[in-house]
Amino acid sequence: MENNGHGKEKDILEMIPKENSWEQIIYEVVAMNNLDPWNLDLSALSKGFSEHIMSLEELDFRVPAKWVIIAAVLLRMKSDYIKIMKMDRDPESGDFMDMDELEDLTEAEIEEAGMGIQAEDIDPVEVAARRKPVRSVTITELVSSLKRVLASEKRRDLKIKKARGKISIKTDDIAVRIENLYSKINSMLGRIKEDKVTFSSIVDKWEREHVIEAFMPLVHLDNEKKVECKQKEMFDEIFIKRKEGAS
Amino acid sequence: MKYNTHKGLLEAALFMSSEPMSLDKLSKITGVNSLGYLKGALLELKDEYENRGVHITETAQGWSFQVDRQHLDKVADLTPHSDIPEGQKRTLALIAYKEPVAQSEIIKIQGNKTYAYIKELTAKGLVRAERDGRTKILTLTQEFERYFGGEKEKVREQLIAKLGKRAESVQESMVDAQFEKINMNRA
Repeated sequence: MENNGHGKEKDILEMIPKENSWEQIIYEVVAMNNLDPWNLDLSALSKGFSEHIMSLEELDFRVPAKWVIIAAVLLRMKSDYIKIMKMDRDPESGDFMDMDELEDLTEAEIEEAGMGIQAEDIDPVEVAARRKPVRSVTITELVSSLKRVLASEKRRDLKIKKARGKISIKTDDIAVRIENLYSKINSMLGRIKEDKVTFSSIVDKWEREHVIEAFMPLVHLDNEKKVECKQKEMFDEIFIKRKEGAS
Repeated sequence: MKYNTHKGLLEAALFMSSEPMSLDKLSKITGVNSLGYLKGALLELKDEYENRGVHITETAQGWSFQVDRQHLDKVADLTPHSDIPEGQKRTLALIAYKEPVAQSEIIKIQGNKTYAYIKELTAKGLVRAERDGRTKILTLTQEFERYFGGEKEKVREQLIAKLGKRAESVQESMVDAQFEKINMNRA
């Protein structure tokens, strides 16, 4: 690679802040300055760029961003171009040739000497086969598993106990509730001096719980033929009438 | 292929596989149809590994390399992969702890997925399931003893000892549960 004073690299560095796009800079490198983009010393370019950044009084993030793209593009171009070389003996002298000597040769000369090989010609590196190590269970692990399963059993038991505790079952005597409702209906009929009362009037509060509390003994009273319930339509008002002869 | 080459291939196959290998599978790998010939070679390999840190063992599921039980505790941390998955391990631990135990009792503790775990453990030859009315009675096998390198009673003793006081309270609760069951049946 050419390293004569890093002249080309310096030119590029000066170009970076001036040009707007990285494509333009590479275009300048190739066309305007007549430089070979594959023959730039990227390490010299990097070093120069670091120095350039340090010397700047005002930081402009577009400058390093642009430079990173340029460096990446140039590196890619170079890596695509470079052929993998192998060190080989000089066909004439039989000595090993060093890299500098190889660089002086043209591509055709390398090909002719059989010293250049394409990447696809290289055999893939053999990776040693590795097994996934699987082992037996230890007693300690068996104990840990037992602890975990017993702990989860305990947690489940507690959860069940807690859930059961939340359900409160009323143990009121239904007979008492029937008797109470019957007395209530009788006293209401006596007070309003009518032959029937409405179901809504005997419910303390029009809420689900209270409605059920009154409805259940009412159904029993109707079944025992102590009252007669009538409802014109479903969900309509229920009219309760005391049955003749009921005690 | 020569006998020694076959033996080397068998050794390589067992080394590479993370699961026990059946004779059929080994037959396909080696291209040897005679299972007797393969078994002979495997037994010879087994003998060669007799006094080593790893052994070649034959289980219900096939042939595999296994680390010597006496070294296992010291090297177990080097790999997180054990040959029994966690769910099955818990089932096995419960069975080892409560053996002989009804399958229904284990299911009650661990849930319905335990049916599959018990099936796997039975296939591995670690657990025996014998029908008893509507359930099955689960017991440990000789393979379990070989696997853990000791009699099942000793393994259970170790389990209880390592569980410590917790085990005592668990045992007490088990006794209580038994009494509760008897009382319910009487009522």
